[in-house]
Amino acid sequence: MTVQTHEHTIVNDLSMMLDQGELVGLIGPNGAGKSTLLKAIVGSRKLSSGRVMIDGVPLERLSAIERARKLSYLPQERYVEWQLPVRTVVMLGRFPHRQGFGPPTPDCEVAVDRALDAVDATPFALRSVTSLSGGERARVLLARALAVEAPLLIADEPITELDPYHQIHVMEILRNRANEGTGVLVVLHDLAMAARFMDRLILMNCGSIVSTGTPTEVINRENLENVYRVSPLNQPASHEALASPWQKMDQNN
Amino acid sequence: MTVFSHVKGLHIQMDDRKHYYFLIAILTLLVAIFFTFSVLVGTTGASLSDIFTTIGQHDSEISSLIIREIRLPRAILGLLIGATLGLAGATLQGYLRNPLAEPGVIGVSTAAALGAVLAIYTGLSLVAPLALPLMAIGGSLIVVLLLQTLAGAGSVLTLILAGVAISSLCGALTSLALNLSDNPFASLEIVFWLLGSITDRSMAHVWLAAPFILTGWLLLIASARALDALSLGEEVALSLGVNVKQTRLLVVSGTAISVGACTAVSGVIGFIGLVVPHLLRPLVGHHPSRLLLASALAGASLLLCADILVRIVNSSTELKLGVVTALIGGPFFLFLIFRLKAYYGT
Repeated sequence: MTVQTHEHTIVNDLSMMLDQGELVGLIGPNGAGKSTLLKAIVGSRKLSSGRVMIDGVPLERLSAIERARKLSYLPQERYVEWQLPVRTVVMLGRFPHRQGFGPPTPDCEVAVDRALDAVDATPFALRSVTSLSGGERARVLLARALAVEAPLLIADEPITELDPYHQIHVMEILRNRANEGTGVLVVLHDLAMAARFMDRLILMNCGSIVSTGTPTEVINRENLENVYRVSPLNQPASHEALASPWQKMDQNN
Repeated sequence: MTVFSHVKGLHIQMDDRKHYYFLIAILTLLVAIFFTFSVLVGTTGASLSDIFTTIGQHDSEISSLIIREIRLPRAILGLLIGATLGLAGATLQGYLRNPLAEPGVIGVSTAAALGAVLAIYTGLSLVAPLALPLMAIGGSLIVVLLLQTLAGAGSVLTLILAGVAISSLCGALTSLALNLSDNPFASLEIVFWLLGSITDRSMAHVWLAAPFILTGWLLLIASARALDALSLGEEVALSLGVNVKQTRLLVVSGTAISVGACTAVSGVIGFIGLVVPHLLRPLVGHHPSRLLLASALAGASLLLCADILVRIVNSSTELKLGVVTALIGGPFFLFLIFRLKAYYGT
């Protein structure tokens, strides 16, 4: 896949695969092209060249509804207009499964309840989403993405606004979803979380993949120094990923 | 836990729906009441039985003629125009995700007004009375093409900017026509027409505008489900299977065709498309799709009510409907800005 603007190449001739049941982390510094890559995968950003295939079928051959049922997407922006109740927002995740203006089917109700329970949002399901804190809203929007119950879930920085408790909680939810058979691709900046929860990491820089493999293989001193321009806190034990950035490289010199 | 909340969820949905249907029933009743009053109220008295005996008969009694030829078209146009403005306002606010949006924001009203003004300015409206509404509808259709060309694949911001630019240009051309008009009667007619009114309209006006208005309604209603998904932004809506480009085409074309046809027969009537959706939004649980029917009914009620007020207010010159709606809408607009300011804290 390649994504270009008039002046820049944002994603440069990149190829990747996501299997069902796999939890994959997409990491890299700001401006590496991670979010653009996700947008290209879900079809909201046009590819300059290349294609995205789901189950061997090119994305453009699927109808909008077929695509929506196969691929759930949580963007970085936590945008909700209007003072909609939390439950209504999560029910929007069932949009691809509903037709017309009739009441939601029992299947939809169950999927919404499951998603609300998963992110601990059931207690405030009747509140307006605009009255929630940033962290609560982030969890509700994750519940909306979970409620689609698609075989592939793509989330852009789902734990950015969360406190440590809910960061771990959300990572556990994503882990469980992967264990249930969903293919999950997550953009993360928290290397500790990436190291702990991901099956596989893809490290991007300047629109290209620099390294891919298990967390231990990807999060190492060389990558931290060359890609993130930071040095790590400690030498890790041989079996653990190097996950604690400590100092900027230009401060080191 | 899941079973319990599933049952609870169903109850919430049912209560929510019951509340919505009750609101729709009340608004429908209001439309029926105001429509009946609109036919009854005037200098010549009429009773309910007069209405039923008059409709369908072609006797030449003065009271029958007044009801059939003057009041009935006026009431029907009031209903159609009010419903269109309410529906188009609710759709545009949902699509643009902006509570301050109204049909005028995409330049439809001013373009239709320009078409009508040109018909008066050139004297075409004197030669053929239907030239005025036809040119107004033509003006709004040109706006659809322009908006699709300028902002067809762009963002919501591009659409608003294109609408503002078209609106400003049409306003300037209308002013130019007034400026260059050497016929004082034509100038006066233009000014009066721009004030907005449904006085002295005939069934010919109803038959001319109704097909365009109804077509516009269908297009707008077809976008309803997508408006709910758009509450989460275009990117999420797209990922949920919404055809964002098609939705834009439906909203822009539906608004232009229906509001253009309304402006063609009534002149410019503002603020209903802004005020009505905003008042009703909390009553429909902030669902953009549910707001459409409710706003259409409330818009019809409000316009019929304003038109009745125009008739019963004791004044030597009849107040223009567009003036009354602007007098109600203007202060409400200011209130809206103050409330938004308080809401966002800046």
